[in-house]
Amino acid sequence: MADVAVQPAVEPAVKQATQAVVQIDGCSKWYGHVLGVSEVSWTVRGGIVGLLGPNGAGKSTLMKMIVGLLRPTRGRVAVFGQEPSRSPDARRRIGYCPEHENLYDELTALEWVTCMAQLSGVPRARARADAERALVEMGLQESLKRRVRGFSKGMRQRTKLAQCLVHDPQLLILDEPLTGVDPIARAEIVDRIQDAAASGKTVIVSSHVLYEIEALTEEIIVIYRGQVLAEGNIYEIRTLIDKHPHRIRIECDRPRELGEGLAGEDHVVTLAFERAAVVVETAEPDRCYDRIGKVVLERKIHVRGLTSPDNNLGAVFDYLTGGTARSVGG
Amino acid sequence: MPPVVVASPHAPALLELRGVQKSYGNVHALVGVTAEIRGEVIGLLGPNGAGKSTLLKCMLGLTPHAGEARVLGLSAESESFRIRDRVGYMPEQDSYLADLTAVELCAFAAELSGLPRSEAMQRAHAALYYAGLEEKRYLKVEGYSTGMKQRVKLAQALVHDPELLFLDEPTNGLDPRAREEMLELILDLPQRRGCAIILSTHLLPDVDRICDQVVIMHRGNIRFHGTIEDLRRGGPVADARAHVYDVEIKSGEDEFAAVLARAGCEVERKPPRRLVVRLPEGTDSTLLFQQASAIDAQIRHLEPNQDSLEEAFMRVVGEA
Amino acid sequence: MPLSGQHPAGRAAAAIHDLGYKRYLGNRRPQSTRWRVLVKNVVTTSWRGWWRMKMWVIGCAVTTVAIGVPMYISRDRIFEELVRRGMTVRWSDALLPLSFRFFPWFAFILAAAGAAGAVARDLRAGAFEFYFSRPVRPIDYVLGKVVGSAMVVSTALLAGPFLLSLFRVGLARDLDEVLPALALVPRMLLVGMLGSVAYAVVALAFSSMSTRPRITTAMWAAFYLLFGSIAEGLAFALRTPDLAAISLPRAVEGFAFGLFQVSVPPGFGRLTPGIAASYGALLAYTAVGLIVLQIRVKRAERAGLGGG
Repeated sequence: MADVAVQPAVEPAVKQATQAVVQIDGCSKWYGHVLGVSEVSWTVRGGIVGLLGPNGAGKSTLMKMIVGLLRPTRGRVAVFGQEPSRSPDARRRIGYCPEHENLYDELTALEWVTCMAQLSGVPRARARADAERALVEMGLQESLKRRVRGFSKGMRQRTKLAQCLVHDPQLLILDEPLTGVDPIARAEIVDRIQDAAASGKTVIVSSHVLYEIEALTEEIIVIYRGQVLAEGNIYEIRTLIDKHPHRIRIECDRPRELGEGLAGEDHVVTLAFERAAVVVETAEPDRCYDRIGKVVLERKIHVRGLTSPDNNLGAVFDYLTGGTARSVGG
Repeated sequence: MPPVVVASPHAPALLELRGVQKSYGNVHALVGVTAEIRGEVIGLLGPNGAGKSTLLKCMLGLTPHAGEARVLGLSAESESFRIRDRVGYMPEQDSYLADLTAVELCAFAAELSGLPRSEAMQRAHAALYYAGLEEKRYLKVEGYSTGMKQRVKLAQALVHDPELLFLDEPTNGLDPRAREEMLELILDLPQRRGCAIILSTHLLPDVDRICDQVVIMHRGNIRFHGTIEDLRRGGPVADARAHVYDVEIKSGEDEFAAVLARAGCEVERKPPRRLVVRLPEGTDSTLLFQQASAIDAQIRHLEPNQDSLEEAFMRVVGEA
Repeated sequence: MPLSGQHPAGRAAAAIHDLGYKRYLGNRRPQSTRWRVLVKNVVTTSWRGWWRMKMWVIGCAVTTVAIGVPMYISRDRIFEELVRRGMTVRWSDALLPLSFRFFPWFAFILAAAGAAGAVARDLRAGAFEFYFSRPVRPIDYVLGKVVGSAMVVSTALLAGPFLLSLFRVGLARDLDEVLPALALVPRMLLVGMLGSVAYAVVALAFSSMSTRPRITTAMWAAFYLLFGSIAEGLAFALRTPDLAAISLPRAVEGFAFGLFQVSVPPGFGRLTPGIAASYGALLAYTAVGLIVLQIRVKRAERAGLGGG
């Protein structure tokens, strides 16, 4: 189980009931022979959504289309009801934090964010103050006047995020926002993102580090080979993967007795024993948990731990993209 | 093949530091670090600017410092070249020479470490096989994907048969499958031939997964050095944790919390689903099952409460 | 250790060999030979692709032939514009030092295509971490790059002239001619070697000035062409030919002319610096370039590793 303070998305204050924030219909993008995405349809109404997929699957293409940097070869992308590549108004309401690190090394952090703020439509008079506030929120108050060139990777990341937030956008698109960031700064940034979502913003965050996504949200979309492979709540998706029965691990003092109590159940697929634990694979987790509770009480078994090692995003991703069905606890 | 175990008490420690100090002008990168580090896979953690890279430079003899540093029993001040013969470094950034194929790069690396040409060629192929690049090893490194570049970096660090590997963010930029494969590769190394690994990363779950020891640096000094269990247990309320459990049930947390409270437990909610329950004296987890059964609730998760690695890290660093 | 077993019924044993990672138990070559590995690397990567080396080597070959032909055809003709100790020189002798008017061009291009960006490219690609986390000293790196680049440049400044001098020996008609002709061969070699090293070192020194190869190559070109022309112009204006030795190609030329004791009578147009000035300039450039290189490389070695 990923060991992180589990604080998934706080419910956003207002969910757009009428208009989707992002609406993608039958979108395809080809670069010559190279496939970007193929027939992708997706609706984002609010909250935090994790965008996942192997390298080269089409995530960046999708994000760039949402941000307006690319136009789909076919199909339609709409952000706040408008096409982002043609509508500066829509783009003004988007904050994009890209993966690459090309900042203008010669500028100081404050200068750079101020500049980006103005480019995003913040009036000149306010730009500098807003930039300063955004940087302070990211914990960079000591480095406002330092040139970006001397920044460490984590500081660059936070500067990029400040730039992304400075013009108070309604939609945030974050591509690997936490690479190179040390654990302290990571916790702060995760807090900022959750605050943003709580105040009504929509956040689409993409990352390869699955436990980071887990810390932010339970809602994901998986892009694989240019198409949408799965979308929705992580745990709901898990229940849909019946090729891999649910695995439950019970650490207790008498694993074999517990196993005996479970062996007769028809939903139990396999039982495996460790020195001080029993691992049961079941096709119907609901009935299994019930049964476990009963057996524990009947036989007075002392349980030290009850976990589901593959009920996490890592396992879900693994099963979806065809990895070997091994336990990915942790 | 029986693995060569480094943990023999008579073998020299991987790292022996005594009062190592390094300042760049006003910036004190290392402030008198003293430690003896042994183990198989050691995680090196710390915020940016904590002194990790300075420590590495001192270890490889690339920068003068006050105090004494020994790597594998060799002095970093006077025997740094012999150290570099036996240490492999996998850098964080891209580090390759233009126009070379993977095989050429690894062979070049081996020759630079003193291996004769034919040996170097042979070991280059072996290292690339090990790193999983057998099909692509004749292609230029420039054209590689991120995952492949990371593997080449690992191969070139291994090719001269080091006893100690220093890996800097080895899973950087890798998608989840490739990350898992890289971690497995790394984990395999000490077992195969007993070479020890120091893993410098910001990703705590990686550390959790493969490291047996953790060293946390902050503001130029080592703040924690021990096993992961020690790190988790080291919290101030460690003993008092014996009766505290994290619980998740299928639905109806409010009712469950109320029932538990009536049974004498202290319940704290961690949204959206988790309950942290302190059991009264003399009871054990069975109480939870009983109460759950009483209201037809279904326990889906139960674990002794302990700091997540992240919380433990914050605690250590915050105390500085 | 291979897995092996013996079937209880007495069948022959089988074995499965462990193909995994093996220890290296051989010896390691001494530290002093590491630079040679770098030399090999420099030369082999230069030979890749057409435009880094191959084209220019072909150009040098063509030039060599183009000079050899008149050497043969007009070998007895007097080359009016050059004199040796008051006596005029024949074409077959004159073309040897004169060839150093042409070959330096190729040397310049070879250096521009390779050495002038070498250290910058390494800096940018993170190659320094690669090198210096291994038992490689800054001096090994410098020596390897210098010798390797000099070898590349020498295909222009050394190979062609050397072949021409051998050709000259071949053109001798009797023993009286052969001996003085033979004496010319080591002189060509000397000019070629000193010239190659100077070109390589200066280009490499420029390449260590920045992390951007295009900028350093531009610096090399500016130095060679612009700065050189300015020096030559000054020498002309101030009527001090020795000043032209500041320009690298003129220094090489002056050294060649000086060694061959050939001088240009007034009115030929271009000024050629004297031998002392030329020799001195080449040595000075080499020395200063090496110092700069060593300093920059040492500094990069320290700054190289790690990011946070």
